[in-house]
Amino acid sequence: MRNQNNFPVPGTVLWAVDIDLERDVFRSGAASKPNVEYLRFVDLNIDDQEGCIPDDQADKFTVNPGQGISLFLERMIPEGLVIMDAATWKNIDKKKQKKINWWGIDQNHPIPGGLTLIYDGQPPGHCTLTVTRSMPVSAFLALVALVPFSPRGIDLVGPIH
Amino acid sequence: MKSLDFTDKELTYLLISLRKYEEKLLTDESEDMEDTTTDLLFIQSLISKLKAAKSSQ
Repeated sequence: MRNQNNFPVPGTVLWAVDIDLERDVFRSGAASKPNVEYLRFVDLNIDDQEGCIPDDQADKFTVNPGQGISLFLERMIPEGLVIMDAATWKNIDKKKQKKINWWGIDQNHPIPGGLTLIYDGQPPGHCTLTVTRSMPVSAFLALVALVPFSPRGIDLVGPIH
Repeated sequence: MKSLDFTDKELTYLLISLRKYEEKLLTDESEDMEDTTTDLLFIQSLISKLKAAKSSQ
C-alpha cells in the first residue's frame, strides 16, 4: 500500500507560468527518450481508436484542458510486478524481464506558455502536462518539445510469481 | 461527469474485462514498458474502484 499522504490535493497546479516546479515528476518512457513527441488517442479520451495519433492527423484533433501527457509523482510500480536487482533480473525468463525507463522534468525552468502541470490524483500519484486552453495536438506537441526532460533511472522489474 | 449505476452482474463483467486487459499488459513481452506502465496503473486503479463499489452494494 502506498503512502499517499505526500500527494497534494487533486487539482493542485504543480507548474505554471507563475508557479515554479518544486518536485520531481516522472514519466515511463523509452530507453532513449521520454516519449513526449506523440499523444495517444487514449490521452484525448478517444475510445474507438487505439495507438498513437498519426503525425498527419495532429491538426485534426484537439487537446482540451485536463488532457495531455501522463506523469507520476513517484516511480510507481504496477501491481503484479516487483523491482529486482540486476543479478535476479538476469536469471528470470528473458520474456518476463521488463524495464521501466524513468524520465523527469528538469526543475528551475519556466514552463512554455499555454502549458500547465496539474495533479489530478486519478490514479493516485498521477498528474497531467496539459493545456491552459484548447489547441490542436500539433501545437501542444510543439510546446511540449520545449520542456526539458532528463533520465531519472531505470527500474528492472519482473513478475512477482 | 455523470455518475452511473451498475448491477452486480454488470460490475462483474467490467471487472472480468479489465482483468483480461491487465493480464494482457502484464504478459506483454516487450522489455521496455514505456506507456504500458501508465496503462497498468490506470487499469489497476479502476479495478480497485470497481471492486470497492461492488463490495459496497
